[in-house]
Amino acid sequence: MDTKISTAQYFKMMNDLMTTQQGKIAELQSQLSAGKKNVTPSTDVKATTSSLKLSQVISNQEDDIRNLQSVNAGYKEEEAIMMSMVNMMQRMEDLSVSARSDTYSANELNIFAIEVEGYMDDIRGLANSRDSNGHFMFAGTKVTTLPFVKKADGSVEYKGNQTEPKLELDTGYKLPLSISGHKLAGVIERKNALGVVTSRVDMFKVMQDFVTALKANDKTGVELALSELQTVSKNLNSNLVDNGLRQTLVEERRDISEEKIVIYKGLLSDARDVDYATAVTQLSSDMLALEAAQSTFAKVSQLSILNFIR
Amino acid sequence: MADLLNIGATATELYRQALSTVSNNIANLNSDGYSRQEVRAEETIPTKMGVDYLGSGVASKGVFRAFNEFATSNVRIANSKVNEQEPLMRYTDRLVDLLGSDKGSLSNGITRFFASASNLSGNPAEEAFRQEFLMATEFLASRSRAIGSELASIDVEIYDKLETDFSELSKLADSLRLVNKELVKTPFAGKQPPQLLDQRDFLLKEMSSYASLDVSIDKSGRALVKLGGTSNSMRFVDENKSYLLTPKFSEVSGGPIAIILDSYGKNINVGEVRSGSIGGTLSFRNKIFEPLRDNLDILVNTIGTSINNLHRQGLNKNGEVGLELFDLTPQYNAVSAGDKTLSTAITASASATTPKVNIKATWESGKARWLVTDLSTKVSSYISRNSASDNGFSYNGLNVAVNGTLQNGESFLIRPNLRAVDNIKVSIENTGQISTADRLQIEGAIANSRETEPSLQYDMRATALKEHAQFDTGTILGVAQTKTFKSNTVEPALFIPRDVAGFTVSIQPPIVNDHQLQMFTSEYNHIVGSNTLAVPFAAGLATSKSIEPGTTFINDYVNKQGATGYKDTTITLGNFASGVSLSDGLPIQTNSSGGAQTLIASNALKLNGTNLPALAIANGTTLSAAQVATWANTIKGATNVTAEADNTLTYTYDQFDITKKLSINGTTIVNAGVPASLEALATLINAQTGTTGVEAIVYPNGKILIQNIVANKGNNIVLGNPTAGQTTNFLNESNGIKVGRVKYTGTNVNFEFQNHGAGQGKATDLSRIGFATTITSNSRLDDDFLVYVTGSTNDVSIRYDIQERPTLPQVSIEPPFSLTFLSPTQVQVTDTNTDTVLAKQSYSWPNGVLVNDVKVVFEEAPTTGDVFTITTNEGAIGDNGNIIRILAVQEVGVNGDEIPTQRYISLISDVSNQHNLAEMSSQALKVVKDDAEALLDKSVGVTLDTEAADLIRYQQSYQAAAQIIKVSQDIFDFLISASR
Repeated sequence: MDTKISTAQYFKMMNDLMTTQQGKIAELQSQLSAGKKNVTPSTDVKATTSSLKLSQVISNQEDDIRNLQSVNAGYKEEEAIMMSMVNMMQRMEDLSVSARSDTYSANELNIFAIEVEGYMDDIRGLANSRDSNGHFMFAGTKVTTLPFVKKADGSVEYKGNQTEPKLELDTGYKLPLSISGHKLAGVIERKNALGVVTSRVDMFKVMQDFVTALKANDKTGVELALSELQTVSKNLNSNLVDNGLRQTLVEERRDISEEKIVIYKGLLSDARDVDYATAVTQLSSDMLALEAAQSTFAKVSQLSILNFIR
Repeated sequence: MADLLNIGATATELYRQALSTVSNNIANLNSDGYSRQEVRAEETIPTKMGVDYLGSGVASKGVFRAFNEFATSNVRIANSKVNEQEPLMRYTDRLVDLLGSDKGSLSNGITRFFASASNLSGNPAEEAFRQEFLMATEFLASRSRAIGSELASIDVEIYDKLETDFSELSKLADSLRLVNKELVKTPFAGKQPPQLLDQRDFLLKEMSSYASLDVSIDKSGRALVKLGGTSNSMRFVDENKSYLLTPKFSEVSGGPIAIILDSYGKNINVGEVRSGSIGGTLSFRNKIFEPLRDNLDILVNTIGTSINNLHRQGLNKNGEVGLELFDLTPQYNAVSAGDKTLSTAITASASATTPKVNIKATWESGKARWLVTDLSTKVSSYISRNSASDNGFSYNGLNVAVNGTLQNGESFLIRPNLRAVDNIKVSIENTGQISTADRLQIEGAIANSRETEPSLQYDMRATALKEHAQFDTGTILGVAQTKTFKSNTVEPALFIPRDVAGFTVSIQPPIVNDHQLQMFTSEYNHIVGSNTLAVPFAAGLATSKSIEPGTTFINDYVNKQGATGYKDTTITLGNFASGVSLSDGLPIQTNSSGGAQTLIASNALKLNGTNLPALAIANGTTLSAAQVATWANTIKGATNVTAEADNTLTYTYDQFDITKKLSINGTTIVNAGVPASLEALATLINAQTGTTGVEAIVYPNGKILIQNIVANKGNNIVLGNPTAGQTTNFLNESNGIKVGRVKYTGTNVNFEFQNHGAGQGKATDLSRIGFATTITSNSRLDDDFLVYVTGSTNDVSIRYDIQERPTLPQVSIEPPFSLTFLSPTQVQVTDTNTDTVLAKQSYSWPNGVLVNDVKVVFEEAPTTGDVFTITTNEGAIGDNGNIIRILAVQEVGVNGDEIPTQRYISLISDVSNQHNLAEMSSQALKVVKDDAEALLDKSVGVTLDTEAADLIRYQQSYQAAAQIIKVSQDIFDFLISASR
């Protein structure tokens, strides 16, 4: 740049330098007070885009946690109900063991029958449980339909469906949200004396036939009932195992999500939040530069030949 | 001595001027655009004194203005460039601020939507979650619209800024014109007053901040200005005039902005404007803003349409399918075409399928009609108002309503808002309409051997196998056609597509041929035809490409109707009519066998359900219509159908061949004497009626009817020529038997076959009595049909009429069906409602079973005997199948495989990159501008120190010059005193 410079140009140049410096200081100030690099989205677009991306990811994880929590609550309810059923099954098995011996008379067997009928009603009642929203838990997806209906002849008919709603945790992996009444009641193969499967029945039919056998003092029937009741218990236990596995899975996922949230929040903070140490250092240096510019300007601008013309 | 005084005087004069000029410089230190002035001195002409020249002093050459043309224009250029970046930086910042806020961003709306969908999928029956989903949907739509409206207001701001900038530019141009006018008074630039030139340069610099300019200075110093890069004809500051530059905005939203020079006069489009704040604004709009808006539209449209496609497939709590979640129909808005504001409210609306129209409508109250101009095609037409009470109108599916009184000549622009961002709305109104559930459910029978975890996939329909048929009737619907086809082919003659409203297909084979119609569904299910197919045909059929591969032949439903029929349907075969049925003229069937001949076997045909007896003729006779009528009437009591034979020959006179003779039923009628008129012929015929049994009647319309007498009604009439060797006769007919036709009257006249499949009743039987054999379907069926013809190898003529498909809802719940595994490799598909076996498909796990739109897949392989029933999912409020599908849209790539939220963030990044680019350019250009200004300043700027130094110099010179005068005064005084 040439040495000659007009007075107006000189003042303009100095002014530009000082105002630019002041602008930088003002921006730093606003960042410090807001604690964020992007006071407005346009101030630091990298921070803005990171913030948008990460906020979304964080919110997804938080939703997952909420989802999994409510799903887990549902599993726990199922578990409690199935445990009660298992206990009652146990009691019925004991009864059938006793009944098949010759110790008891027909009358006493009748009393057993009444007890078993009571258990059957209880189990049916449990199978018809509703959740906290008033929806049936074991009706498949037909949550407003009473799943297990007692008919006039004492048999129980399943009115729900077999569909188990699923939650997709990762691509391709689907977690069943509930056990359908079909799975709960089970499918038990009824074999004849030769071991050939003659029909398939559910637990209510097994219990109903047990009652009939007791009332009719039918030892063969009672014997059959014992083995079938054991199969029913096995089915319930296998459902409980599934339930337990699901709960573990859900808790694991929740833990993973919580860890992820911590990591992402850290990243978000890195991207978006102001590093106070750096910012304050920068501010000090900028302020120093401004001071220097201002004082030199004040001194130099006073120099003029006109001062010396008397 | 006087010279001395003179010299002194000139010197003081000069230095006084110089001092004034320097003072002027100091005074104008801060004046805008002031160029430093200086006085230049030159020696005056010397006087000659003998051989010597004595100087005579000094004179001022003039006050010169410091200028540097090169530097001045450089500053202008740099100024334009720097100012170009400023709107780019400012507006891109605005955009990032608008789009990038945490709460207000569209990506936040999208995230929230999918988050609520995820929650809903875990709890599909819970009202609270449904409510949240509905609200998140509304939030997404309204966020999108809010962003759209903010962008629209930036658009308006851009328009305003352009108008303002152009207006400023035009004002400066006008001031420049005034300066030019003053400049023209002095013909040389060097002699111009410096103030004028300073002002000219100042104005030019101001103008350059708006746009890049090409300036040429003429010899008077006038500035002639045009926009950078345009031609000389587009100057907007001329020698004498200045012209307006105005922006002209397109009538279509988002269209290009034209820059018009002198819109009231020359009206030229100057093309583009480079640099300057106007150039920067235009560049922002065209390169950043409009593409961003378009990309946002694509993003919103893609998300909305993908979600809608899935939402439609699902079932909601009210049991409905086919609802869309978002409404993306373009909104139409009406603005006044002139400068006036709308005096009356105009609303325009259209359905989603209306093609987008951009129109200008002008009301003509005198003729109560609208002049409508389509702005895209420039075609105008007159449209009348809807009615006397309704001044609105309809155009191409667009409905325009008027709310108020119209003035004659009032014009409106009615344009669609094409931007999905502005149009998106929520289509459903309550939580019950959210389609969370799949529309079908599947259940395995209790007796199934094990749990195979079946599931359903939707929207899987395979393409119809129609390209192999000889003719695809789907190409012409609603028009009856007759075509000739080959018989016994591997591929069908006709392909009838599913969902048509009904169809008829008929053949009427000549009695020497023996054709049968065979109709199959594309799944190899035999509906109409022979109980047993000929082996070669069946073998060919098995290889047909028109039949779904892997299917097995099913013939349980051949020719059956009603409850035993295919899907309980009423596809009929035969010849059905009601009221009156008129046969064609019967074909000639003569018995020369030697004994009686049975033409139609007993009980082969049924009329209205009652068997018809055998139709036989004696040796040497030809079947007559009368015989057929009698035959049909034998069962009149049971059928309530009355048959009436008729054999009437009709001619006009000009049809006759008057060179020939005529005999009827063996009796000569026309011999030597040619009858000159119909009456004459009638007389001749009627003269022989006693013998022939044939009479003739002439009608006043110039026709003659030749028919049997009543007693012989329907008998055959034998036409002949007594002249030996001639084969035709007077009536211009071939010699031979003319057989009549039969008219059947009854509430129904339904001819059917006894057992068509077994050959007890065939098409030729009906042909014999003058009827076609027709397959008729009157209802919409969900199957593709294939029509073949078997039997004789001759080509066959088929007449068909396929009814147009009715308008169907986009999605509907399939009728329930079941799958039965006959073996691990074969599955039977049964329609549950009608208990009809639809198909037997070959199956191999893990492939799925495809039934129309739905594919059934199994986690484990099913075995023999497994049964699965697929029914409607109504009542399954806890089903989340469809909402899970909708969730997947979150991960589907939009426009380059970025997921929606990522795409949105990329768009913001792009804008910010543009900002950074502009900012870097701005900084670099500022340096260039500062340099240019410094260079200019070096030449023309005022420095106080220099001026102060000059002040001292000229002051000393002035003092010295004054001293000269004093010296001359002293010399004079001395001279005067010396001479006293």
